[in-house]
Amino acid sequence: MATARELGPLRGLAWSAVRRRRALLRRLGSAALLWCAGGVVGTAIAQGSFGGGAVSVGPQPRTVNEWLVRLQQGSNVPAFMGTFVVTASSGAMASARIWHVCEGNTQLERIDALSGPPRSSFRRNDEVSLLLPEAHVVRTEQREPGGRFPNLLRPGADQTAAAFYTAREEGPERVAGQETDIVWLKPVDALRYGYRIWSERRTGLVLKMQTLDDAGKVLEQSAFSEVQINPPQPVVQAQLKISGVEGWRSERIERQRTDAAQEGWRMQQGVPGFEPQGCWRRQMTAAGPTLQWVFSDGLATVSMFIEPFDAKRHVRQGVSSLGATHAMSHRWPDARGAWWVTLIGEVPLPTLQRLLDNLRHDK
Amino acid sequence: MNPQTDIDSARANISALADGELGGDEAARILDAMDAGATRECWHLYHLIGDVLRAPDLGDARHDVEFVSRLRGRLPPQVSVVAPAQVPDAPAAARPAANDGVFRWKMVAGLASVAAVAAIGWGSLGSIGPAAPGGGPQMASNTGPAPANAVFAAAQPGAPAPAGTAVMLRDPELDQLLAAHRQAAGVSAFGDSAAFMRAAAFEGPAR
Repeated sequence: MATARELGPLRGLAWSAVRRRRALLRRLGSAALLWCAGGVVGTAIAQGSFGGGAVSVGPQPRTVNEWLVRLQQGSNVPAFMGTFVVTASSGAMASARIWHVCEGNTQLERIDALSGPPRSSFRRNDEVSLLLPEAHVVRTEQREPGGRFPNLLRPGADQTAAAFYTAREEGPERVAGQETDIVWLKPVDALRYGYRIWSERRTGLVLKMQTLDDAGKVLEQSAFSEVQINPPQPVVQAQLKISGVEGWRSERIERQRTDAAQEGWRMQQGVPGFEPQGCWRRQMTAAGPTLQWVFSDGLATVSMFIEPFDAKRHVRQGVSSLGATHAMSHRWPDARGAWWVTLIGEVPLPTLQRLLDNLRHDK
Repeated sequence: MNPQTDIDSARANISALADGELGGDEAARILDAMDAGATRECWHLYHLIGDVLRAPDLGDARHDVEFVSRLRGRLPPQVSVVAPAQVPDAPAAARPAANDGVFRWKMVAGLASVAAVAAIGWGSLGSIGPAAPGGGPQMASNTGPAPANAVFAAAQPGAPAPAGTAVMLRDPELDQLLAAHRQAAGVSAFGDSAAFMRAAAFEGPAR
């Protein structure tokens, strides 16, 4: 009935028209939803029809370590540039533009944030410079040389990841105009998250990555919306020079390697898979040095920050999240303790809690 | 007659007028009322709806797709131009003004779909009260000493979070530690391209 009247000359509708118009708006709304859902369903079908099927043809699926080696080698692609978008399950979203060149052993990279305060990061191997145009500051930091863990490209390297994750190949999909292979790195327990990774077929370059909780819910997603692999080198090179920073203030972030045991800290009992990777002293505030103790299971990383308790600054105890990253701040060892401990990592909260519970200080 | 009924009958009259069903005095009365903003808006809306009813093409979502893809094509350059205006005259300190986080949170809340270009704050999953005995309830303190507290306090009335929803907040202390964490974890097992995707976009200015 409604259809016939809609096609009519729209006379004699009066009040009922108002309701019918509202119904139409609702229909338009649900049509849009269906349209979106169609995309999702289509994706699922595409994945299902290609991935992990009973009929296996071609070479054997790669192991966890073979996949990690491939993903790391993706960084050695001579050049790429593109725009990538990071979204969190909360709906929050940020994007950035990247230019990347690899010449022999030298990697050059520039990332411009497109969200939030303007900032550009320039990296030459392990040296990172952050440009803050509003504050007219250039902040430089030297990353730990060779501090890439786990270095799977080295013979006899750390095999931790293989013990705590399994690889499941899910077949091809197109991302940002490129053909990719999908691998799902599933954790063996609830102490870490899973990762679904879209790797460009020829180079291995990671074009999309999802962090998933144990129920398979996406906590965080990073993806290129658009990428050019091996564009003309001069085009990329032109973007990799720092310019226009004359007269800006220069800051250098210093940190010294140290040893947790030497500082009097130890773990009574570790959390399965999370091995200590290194310990640094950082001068983060005028109040004194902060100790940063890093743990990793080969894929996920947790930083434990330990500093003397300061009643002025350390006012908020509790837990927070940002995408797949969780943070937990506590006065330690108790409510009247002399220390302030903050744990940050891309792991579930219970993992942070267990690391905190096992922290011991030997005076 | 209650106000809601008034509004409903006014809308019914506008609808009838839009359909050409009213004449004479009644039409004149409605047209007189047309100066009121709400009535005029209602009139335009009903005409728009009428247009869609007459021409189903107008409701075709493909136009939206084209529009969105055109918008997406233009978005990055516009964003980089617009961004500096968001924080006017930041002091010559490494960190932006303390209310920067609040502003960006409002961007997320109010313009989620269009301006999906805002940096985000931490979602608080729970607090275990003030750390220091007698440290004072930080949420009540408007003259809060630490920037993080000021942001947190300001965010409360502006964006009342429904039960079970994480409160977004900007915490410079935590941002700084996050930056240090990302730096340490910077080169991940997934290779550089994955590492920067995780680190760069969400990274706060405190790095």
